[in-house]
Amino acid sequence: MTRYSRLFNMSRPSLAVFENQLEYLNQYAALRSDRAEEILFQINGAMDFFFPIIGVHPERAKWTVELISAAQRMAFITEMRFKQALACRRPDEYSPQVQPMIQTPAHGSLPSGHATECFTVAMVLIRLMKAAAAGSGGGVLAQMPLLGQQIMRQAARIAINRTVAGVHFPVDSVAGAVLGLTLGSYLADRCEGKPGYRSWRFIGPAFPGDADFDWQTLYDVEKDTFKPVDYTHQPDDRLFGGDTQSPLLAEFWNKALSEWS
Amino acid sequence: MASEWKQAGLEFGTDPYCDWSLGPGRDFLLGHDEPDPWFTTLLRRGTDPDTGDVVTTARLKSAFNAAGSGTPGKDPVAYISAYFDRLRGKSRLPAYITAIVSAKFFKLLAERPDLQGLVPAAVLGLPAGFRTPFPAPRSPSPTGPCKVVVGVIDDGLAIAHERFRHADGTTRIAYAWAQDGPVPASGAPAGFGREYDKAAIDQLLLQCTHGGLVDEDAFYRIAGLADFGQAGHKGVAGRSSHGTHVMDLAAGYDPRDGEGAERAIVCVQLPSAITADTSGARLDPYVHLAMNYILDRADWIARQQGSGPLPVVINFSYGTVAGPHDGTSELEAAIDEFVQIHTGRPQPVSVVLPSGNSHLSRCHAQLAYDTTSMVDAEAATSDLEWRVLPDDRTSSFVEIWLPYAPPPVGASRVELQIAPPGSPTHPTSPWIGEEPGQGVVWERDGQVVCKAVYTFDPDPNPTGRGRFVVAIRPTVYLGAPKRLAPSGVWRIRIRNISLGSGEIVHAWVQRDDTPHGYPTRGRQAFFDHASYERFDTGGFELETDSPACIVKRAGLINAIATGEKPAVIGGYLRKEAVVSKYSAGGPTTPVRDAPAPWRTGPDAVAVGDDSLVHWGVLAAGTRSGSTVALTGTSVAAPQVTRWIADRFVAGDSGDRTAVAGKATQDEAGRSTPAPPVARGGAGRLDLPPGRALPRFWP
Repeated sequence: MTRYSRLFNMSRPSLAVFENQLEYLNQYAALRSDRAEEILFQINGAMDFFFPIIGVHPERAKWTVELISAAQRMAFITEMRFKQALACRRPDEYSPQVQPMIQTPAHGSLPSGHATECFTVAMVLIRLMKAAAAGSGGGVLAQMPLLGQQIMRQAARIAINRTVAGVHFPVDSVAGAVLGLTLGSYLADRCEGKPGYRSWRFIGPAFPGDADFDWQTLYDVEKDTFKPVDYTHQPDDRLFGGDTQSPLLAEFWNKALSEWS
Repeated sequence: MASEWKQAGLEFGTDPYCDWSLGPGRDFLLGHDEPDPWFTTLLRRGTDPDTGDVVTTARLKSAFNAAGSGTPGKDPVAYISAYFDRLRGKSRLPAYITAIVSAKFFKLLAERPDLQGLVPAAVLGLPAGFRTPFPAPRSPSPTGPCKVVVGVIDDGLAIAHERFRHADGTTRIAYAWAQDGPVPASGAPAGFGREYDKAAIDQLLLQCTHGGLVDEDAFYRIAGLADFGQAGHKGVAGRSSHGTHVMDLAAGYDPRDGEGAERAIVCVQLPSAITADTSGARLDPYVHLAMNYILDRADWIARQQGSGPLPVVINFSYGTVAGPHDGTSELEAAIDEFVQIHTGRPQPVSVVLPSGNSHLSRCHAQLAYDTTSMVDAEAATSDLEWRVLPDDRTSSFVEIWLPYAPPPVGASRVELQIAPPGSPTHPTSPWIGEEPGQGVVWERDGQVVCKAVYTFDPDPNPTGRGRFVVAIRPTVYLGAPKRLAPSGVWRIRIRNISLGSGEIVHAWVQRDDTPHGYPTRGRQAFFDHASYERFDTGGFELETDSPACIVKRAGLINAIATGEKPAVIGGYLRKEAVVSKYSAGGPTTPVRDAPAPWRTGPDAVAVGDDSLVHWGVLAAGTRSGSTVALTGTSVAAPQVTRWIADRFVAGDSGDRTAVAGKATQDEAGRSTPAPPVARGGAGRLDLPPGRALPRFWP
């Protein structure tokens, strides 16, 4: 019998939080003309925006690309369960004056799917490149601390672009980023057989409604540590132990890793 | 629907823009929410009859507040900085000061001739809090051994940008003052906005550095310059901003470049509402404060490094269209006075301005009564067709300037009549003559949608010209329903009564477009005319005037850049070596009793575009590492500012004469014909590229 452990817990912010966050929709809309091209390109996902940073091409690194796709699929399946369960209204359902510049997806607002997927992939990529750097180390890998920042900032920009577009609140990106970072490190842990990962959460009612999305307050990419914030952890959150490596994922991971040597 | 013209006079102040903005245009003023706010204002002080000198700040304040006591509302004058009195020149106090006043101040000024004697001119700024002027810096701002201070007054200043940093990652910006935004608890330089000194910027840079990389989004959010939880325009949030581009051209360096280390920066970000409202009628107090602030801080830097005064060059890449164009508008006179006061300083002070981008804007018309082809011979009347666009969310203005000489008593040299679009459904105004402070309003259902007044400045030191100002409300408003101005052709009929041969009436439409990076509010109105040809037979835009047409390209030089002291710079195409088609020029009008004007046009032209196809010049975007192209005389001017800073470091002169000298010298080495003086000044400057990287193979 498999014993399941809870990896992530998410609860819905109050209506007042979302209403409060409408001001961000209003202010971020000023960037629409500036970000229009990116936003349109990112409507159905934004993985292409990571490739130029890490220099990956499908014809030369098919396993890395496949790993990214797998991470994205895992994030997608997970985020959709949360969206369905929490059923948070989109910004345009609060005010017609949001007038999004793209069509609002039919599913719920929180967590942001773009944020979840991008931060999952960003985390997996950083872990993969750290592992690769520990081996050979050449090329872009030599710039690792900087590269980690660059990848995370790209993920954040993609998430923020959804607020600029008028389809997400900043709090959606916060929930998505916490979920994505957790899923990314979980997947990498299962690949690498790294013992122990922490259960994490997004506590909606504890989120300060007037706060913007700022990933740097959630995660320290240089130290690879989650920062304890009121709305992302509770003291009794558990650390799972034991041998968690998946042989199938390990094989997959090593194939991707071999493309970086 | 009641619709009628009525006689009306000035109700607020002596300046028709101020009168309009506090009166019928009040609801359309940005930041007007408070019922009885304080306002910033630029004052021109008159003479105190008791002392024969310029009236002191203390006397001025007490006179107004005594006159205002006993009526409800705030005191007329909240604050006038004594700072300006300490700037006493050789004998007299400076005439221009910035003050914080209430609407009652302007009300009293309009009603009381005695108070008009103390304050002949007052330019309205924006609603503002009030407190102190610039205090001593809270912390010393050592910048290293700098040799010159470059001042930049602009919008959207990316103060975290690496182009303004030393090699060790700390900033070269000694002081930055954002004139709007959240006021910190510890106070602000002039009761509004926020000051960032070097220590504060360095601290923030450190705080926002992760993985060896400054998170500039975080920097601007924490600094309050791009916090999306706050309302207001965030100039540094977009990928390019006017101020960052300009400041890079003026004072940006690769951090490893030792030359940069010698050039300290003091910069001022104007309130975004001032930039957003391009009619510019209200930027005067902010610019005046900014210039004084830059010089004050430059002296602090000098004191800090124990070097004695430092040379200062200030770049101000802004422009307006309507004004006297003889150097006597209040801001021009204030800038000239500012430079004049500091002329005796051991080290020089220079100001650089752009010549403006309005050459093809159709915003200038001139009526001369010695050429019958321009005049209806029988009635001696001519029509200005002022085409006002739909969807214009800001007020629009036309200024009509008469020749020098006071108006004849009880008579008029010219008269003016206004026919709104849709006549005869909309009534035509009665004739308005030269009765100072008097005019007409057009009321629709009790709301004034148009006001036209005549003013004449009686100060002994003024322009000496009569002026009609026609102001109209926006043509669209998204708030609660109001009576608005109809869009279309507003016909301003001018009837000559006694002007003789050679006496010219000039009319300018005030600037009212939308600046770079801002949401659309204003839409530029212009003068339409049947004989104005925009294109030649090849489809190219014509850049020269037809003598038969009253609408002129000539004389559209930036209306705040016709003063005596500043270096004024137009733009040219680097590759084609011709003046950029937008680059505006003279001629300007001589000051009263002067044999010649202070300038024919700009002093020189610098590169405004790399080529016909390579629009603009390259310089910094808002984020480190980014480069963007921006065009216009705004980007030509700071290249000259940079050159002047180099001259100052070398101990050479850097005033407009020096700029013209350099242009003359550069022009001599060219094989293509020099541009006409009115648009090209002394010629095409050949400046080292700096950041103005050409984008073609020569």
